[in-house]
Formats: sequence, C-alpha cells, structure tokens
Amino acid sequence: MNVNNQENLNLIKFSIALSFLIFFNYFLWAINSWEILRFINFILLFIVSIYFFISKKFTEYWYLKLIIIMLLLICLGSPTVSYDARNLFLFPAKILFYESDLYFHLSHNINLSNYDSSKFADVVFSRPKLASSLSATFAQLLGFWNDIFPKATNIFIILPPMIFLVSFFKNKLLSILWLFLLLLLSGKLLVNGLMDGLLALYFVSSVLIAYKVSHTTEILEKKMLYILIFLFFSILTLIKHEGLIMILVVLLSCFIVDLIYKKKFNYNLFVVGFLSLIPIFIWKFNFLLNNYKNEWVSYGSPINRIFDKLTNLDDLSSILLHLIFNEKLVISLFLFVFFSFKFFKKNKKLILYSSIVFIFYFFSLIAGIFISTHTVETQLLHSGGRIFIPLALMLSFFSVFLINNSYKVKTN
Amino acid sequence: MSKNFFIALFVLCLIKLFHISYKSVNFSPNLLFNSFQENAGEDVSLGFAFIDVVPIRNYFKNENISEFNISEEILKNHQIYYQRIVELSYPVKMNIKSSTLVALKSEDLNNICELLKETANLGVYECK
Repeated sequence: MNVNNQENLNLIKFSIALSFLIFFNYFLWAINSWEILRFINFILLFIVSIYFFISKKFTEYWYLKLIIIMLLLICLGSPTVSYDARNLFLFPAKILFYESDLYFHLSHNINLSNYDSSKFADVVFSRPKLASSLSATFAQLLGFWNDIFPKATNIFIILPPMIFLVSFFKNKLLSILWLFLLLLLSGKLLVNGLMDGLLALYFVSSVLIAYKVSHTTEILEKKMLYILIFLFFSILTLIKHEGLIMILVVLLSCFIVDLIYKKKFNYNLFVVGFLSLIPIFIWKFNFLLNNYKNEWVSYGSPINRIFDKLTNLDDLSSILLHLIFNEKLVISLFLFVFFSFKFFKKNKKLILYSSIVFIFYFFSLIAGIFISTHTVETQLLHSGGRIFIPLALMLSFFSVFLINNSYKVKTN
Repeated sequence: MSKNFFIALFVLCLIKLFHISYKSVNFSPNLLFNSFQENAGEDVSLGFAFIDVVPIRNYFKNENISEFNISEEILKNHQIYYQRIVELSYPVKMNIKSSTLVALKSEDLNNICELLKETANLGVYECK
C-alpha cells in the first residue's frame, strides 16, 4: 500500500468513518438505544457517504463513484425474489422495523419455532443482524416498509471495503480491472439482497489488512489499520455465520506466515482480532442462554452426517464435479496461479499467505457441506454457486495486487 | 495505450452492470421510480404466491386480525406459501393456537371450519 500518499490515507480514513457508523448502528440496536440515536447515526452515515461523491479530494475516483451509484439504482429498481435473501435478510429487517428490538424473538414466542420441519425459526432469528438492522433503521426513519428500498442499505455496507481495496492500487487501470473482476464474479450478489457479496468484499479486505498491518512501520498508519481491522472483522462476523470462520482462517494464516518468516507472531493482531469477535459472541451467547436450537448440532448427529457423506461416492463426485465446473473459482484460480508464477520472486510471502488462506477456507467450506443438515445435492444446488465467491474474489484481487506490486517495483 | 485499456474496461463494467440489471435481477425503471412507495414491488417480489398472499394480508389488515395459523399441509408441502404468508402478513403473527386458519382450498375444510375469505388457491377459515 502506498499510504504515504495523502490521497490513499484519506480513502482509508474515509473507510474507517463509514465502517464505524455502520458498526455503531448495530451497536445501538444491540443496546436497545433510543430510536432517535439510530436516526442521527444513519443521517451521519448518509452525509459521510455523500461526501465521498462530492468532495474534490476524490474526483479522480469518478469511475468508482459511477459504479456505486449504478449499483444503488439497480438495488432500488429490482425486487428481492430469492428465498434465502427474503428469509435471512428482508424478513428479519421487517421484524426489527416493527418491533424495534434486536432480541425480540427471545422474549416473545411468535410460534414459528414449533415447526422444525422447515427450520424457519432458525433461519429467521439466529443469523447475525448487522445488515438487517441498518435496513430497519432506514425504514424506521422513512416511517414505512416495503420490499424494495430497505436492501439499498447494502450499498452503504459495501462502500468501506470497496474504497479500501481500491486505495491499494497505484493506477486507475488496475483499479478498474479489479472492479471489473468484482462485477464479473459477484456483481449480482451485491444487489440481489443476499449477504454473500458483502461477505466476500469484507473477507478480501480482512485478508489484505491483516497482511498489511505487519508490513507497516509508521505508527499512525499502523493505528489506523488496527482500527480498521477491528471494524472490518466485527462487521464480517455480524454479516453471516461464515464470517467467524473467515476471521479464524485469517488469524491462523497470519500466525503461520509470521512464524515462518519472523519466528514470532503479532500479538496485537490477535488481541484486536479477538476483541472484534465480542459482538458476535454476545449475539450467540444470547441464543445459548435461551436454549435456542442451532440447526447444525440440534438436528441429528453432525458426526454421522460427515461420515455418511464422506463414505458416499455420489456425494464426493458431486462436490468434485461442482468444483470443476465452478467457472468463477476456476478462472480466478487460474489468474492467481499465472500471476504468482510471473511475480513469484518479489511476492513470495504474499503468495504463501494468500495460498494458506485459500486452502484453509476452501476446506472449511467443504467441511461445511459435509456437516450441513441438507444433502450435498441440495446444498450445492442452492448455495454452491455463491459460497465459493469469497475465495474467487480473493484470488482475483490478489492477482491484480501482484501486478500492482510488480508495477511499483518497476517504476521505482 | 493505458488510457484505451482503461476506457475499454470501464465500458465492460457498464455492460456487466446492464447485464446484471436486466438478466440477473429483473431490474425495472418503473420499480425504481416507485421504490419509495408503500407496498412497492410486491407483485414481482412474491412471484406466483402474489395472487394468494396479498389478498390474505389485506384481509387480515381490514378485519383487524392479529394472529393466524397455517395448515399442516402448507407447512409440510408448500413452504413457499408458508414463508410468503408469514413474512408478508407481519406484524400479524402466526400462532398455532389461533382459530383463524390459512389452508389450501383443496384441503376442503368447509365441513369443519367456516370459510371467511378465499383466493385463487388458498382460503382463510374460522375453526372453533
């Protein structure tokens, strides 16, 4: 990162401000604060976002602004159709809009949990609520609900990682190349109401920031990156359950790479990393306290499920075929391998780090498919296309980032 | 050279955005202009269930019904209806003790319950 460059520093500061306001909205919901505080926070978030579009400091990022505005318009002009998007995000946001209570389900039995057959209660209530809470604040501010405008707040949520990631590129060409790959691989997931696109962007940012923090020597810069680590990690875990696994993968990968290269590890990163997990642990603790069911452990034996699927050749071949024909993952893997070979000498550590993250998260996903209560076929049919998107985005980002690093070396 | 590449990639981004709009997420300018209207987009969002669940939601609203139950048949074999009814009717909540029952018309509950409202495929019944 060329954070000596004032412009990049401004982008990172801006990213901190936005992600703080997004996180603070969730915090206000979590402590059941007054509605007026949430409104003030949302208005501030809106004003700060607008600042990015009108400030002269960021005029050279006109292409990024245009793409974000277009994503916002697409969001506002398209329905939320997907069953998962409606269950995991829209309906919980609607409940928050009407009840103004993040823990409503714990204190009021609305009788959905009686129907284990569809695990509807699990799906609606137990998922982290950061995105839903921001939509609910927006709807409460406007005073009514519909199925369209609330999901536009997802665009506010993707702003910090998009700005942060673009700030690392030295020239416009590489920025637009990365944005193109982003749209190609996950564009639909940023606007259709599903959380996977948001999750993927925060995952890529978290992988990068955890790597960068150990390479920065300037104190102010380092402090800013630690603040951003706390915010991005917290947001990542509060978007979807997978976020928690992602953070553990990132921390473990940093630990291994630091051990190999420095023979010691970065305590600060681990302290900040674990602090950022507090909000999701509080959320999960509420469910444990109330004896709430978790679909993975409460419906049958997870060990039996793993064993059954591991010993079933049909399941194994389905997974293998799915991976071979997952063109987004294959293309991004090809790009990453190609540029890794090309720029190996100058980027050994980065390539090793991103490869370890890839391997750990890839096998976590495969383990997730095995442990799931759904059959392998159903799991791959309904979510196979999107669960690998974070990996595809990460590989494509680091491919462009390798070019960026080599470009820097050449120009120097 | 670099500038030309930049323009080419930017145009590709725009093309991809148009592709997402019209092929992937059913973007509609009409919906965009009405996106801040109450109940906007229900017809496209709810799919085939629209003709059944919207009249039921409106009926609950007009009759001040605060709770309802859903038949076992819908719960077990028609989860889309289940999900759409529960979600669209909210803040009218589902309660298994409620005497207001939403069931498929084909379940033929006329002998044991009183039909209050019917739609193309569903009925709202009062079951004592």
